[in-house]
Amino acid sequence: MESNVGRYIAKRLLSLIPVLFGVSLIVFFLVRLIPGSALQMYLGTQVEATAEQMVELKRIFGEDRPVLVLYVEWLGRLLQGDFGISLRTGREVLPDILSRLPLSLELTVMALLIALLFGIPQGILASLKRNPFVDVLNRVVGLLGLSLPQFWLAALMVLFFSGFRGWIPMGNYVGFFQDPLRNIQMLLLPSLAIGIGLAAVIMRYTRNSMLEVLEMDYIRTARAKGLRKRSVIFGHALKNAILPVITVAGFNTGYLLGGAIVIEEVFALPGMGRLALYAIYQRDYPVIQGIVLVIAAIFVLVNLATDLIYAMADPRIRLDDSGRKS
Amino acid sequence: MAITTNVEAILRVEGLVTGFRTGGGLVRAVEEVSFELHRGEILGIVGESGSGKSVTNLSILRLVQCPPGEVSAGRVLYGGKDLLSASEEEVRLVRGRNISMIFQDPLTSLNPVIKVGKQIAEAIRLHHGAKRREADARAVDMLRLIGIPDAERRASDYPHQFSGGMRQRVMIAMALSCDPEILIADEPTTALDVTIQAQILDLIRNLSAQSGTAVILVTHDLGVVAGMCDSVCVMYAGRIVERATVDDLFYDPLHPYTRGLLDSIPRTDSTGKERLYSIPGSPPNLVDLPEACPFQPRCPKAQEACARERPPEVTMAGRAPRTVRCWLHAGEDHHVS
Repeated sequence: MESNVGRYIAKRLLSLIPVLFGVSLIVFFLVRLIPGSALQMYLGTQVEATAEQMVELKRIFGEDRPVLVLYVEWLGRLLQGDFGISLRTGREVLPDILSRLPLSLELTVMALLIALLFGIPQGILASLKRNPFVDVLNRVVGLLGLSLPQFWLAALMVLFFSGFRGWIPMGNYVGFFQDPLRNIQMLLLPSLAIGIGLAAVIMRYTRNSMLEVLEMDYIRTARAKGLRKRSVIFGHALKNAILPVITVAGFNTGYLLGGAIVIEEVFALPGMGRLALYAIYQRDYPVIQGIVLVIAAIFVLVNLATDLIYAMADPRIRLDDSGRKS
Repeated sequence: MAITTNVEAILRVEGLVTGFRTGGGLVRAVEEVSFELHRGEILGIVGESGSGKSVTNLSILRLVQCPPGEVSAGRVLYGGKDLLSASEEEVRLVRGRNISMIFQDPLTSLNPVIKVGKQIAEAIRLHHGAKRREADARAVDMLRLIGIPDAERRASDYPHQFSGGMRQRVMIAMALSCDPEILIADEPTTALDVTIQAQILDLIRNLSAQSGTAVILVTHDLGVVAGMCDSVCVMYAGRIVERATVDDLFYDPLHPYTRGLLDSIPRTDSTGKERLYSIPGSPPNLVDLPEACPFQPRCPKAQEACARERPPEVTMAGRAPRTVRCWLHAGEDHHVS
């Protein structure tokens, strides 16, 4: 059993390799399709470089070689763990990304927590109180949460809360380990903006799943045993109803990370998103490529974690070493 | 274990009416059902699908989903209390401790994500206030008692790791874990293989004999009734049409429906050439039942009165409680209720 799980995890981690290879191909050629090259962006309007300087610049920016050659060079270095050097700052790409990553991850995790803490209890409540008014209210709130664009919500929050000092993370960002309380306070609104959509999704899933489970024979058995309503709902129903919610939450966590990247800009947080945004403005290809690869890897890891959590929650699922759930 | 009238009734159901509100109207699933159950008795309730057998039993413990279901009249007297008018909390304390139930499909009736040992121990902890350890140990004892090999290890398995018969044994262990006075078994063998059916029924009978637990056995199999029960209620269209001891019912059926059921049993001495008898027609729609005997359209002995008015429940004189709802016997009326 133990070794099975170990082998399953190993297989899934191995599947990272083809995924990352595919992503590397796509991102490498895609970024070069953006109009305007890195060199043009660097030079801007003032072209005062000498011919020799231009040759040197073209070499640095990789415009003297075919794209395919550049890709192979990049991939070769990548395999040695070298993500390359930023065309703009001249700094190594990987440490830069890794220093920004914790903030983006923290935002994602907080958004996920907010989504779960709001969505699940609200979903349970909605399934139990099948009162038309509450139901309509839930549906409207759910629909709103789903359809409001995150950036718009974030912008509204900035406007509304700018009077509350410290709520909007202006200027000096404080890391979690420097001052946890202040850090969470600063990230609360951004994570709310990111997580509220998923909260609505989770609410709907929890509600529907609970309604389905409450009709099941084993719920009748639990009641026939004389269990209190509370034990029937939390001890018996929720344990089953939570299963589809795990899948949905896991699947969406990757998208939360995407949301974090947009929202960081609105709240001026120095996370990976801002790094990505400026890299795109400046066509800083190595940085963009690095960030996309890191995000892809996180996506795969989150999916793996979701499957493991699901297997823990549902004993009928066995992880076999063909790398599939069965 | 024959019934004698001097044994006190431990459960008395009087005039039970349960309906379901549906889009098509009110479905009268159970209509004026009355019977009693005595200590140690095994009472069979037979009838076709939809005759109200299961709903009757769910109504006793107030387990009918409400809405759309609603128990609208009657009394269920147990331990000096009417379970239908008692508070939810009072009924909850009776469930599982005094009256417990097992259901038709043991796979869907056990929680798939909870270990079977825990599902059994849960009831013990709840009703006997046992500590986790004691309850777990007792759960293992129960599994052993009902014949699960290697009970200690199996207690930490999940329902899907058991076979159908073993799952029903687990259900029985769970139902009997608190030594209930009454066990309601709702078609406990319908979902099982024929060879397993006999084992499960034997198990129920033996455990009932050992502990003196009275059993209400819901079934549509008259063979099971003949082999297991002391007395029988025959249900049709939500009503009990005949109530008798097993011997009376099989040797002297009074209601034409009972007779039809008995005639439909394949006989072992048949030549194999004659057609199997079946009651013509099909059961009525329970929405908008006319003011007639519900069996009248299918009854070979229907008379004029049958189409006009519903027959009253007539208690026959003589031994043991025997009632019938049929105009054929209304004249022999000894006590109309």
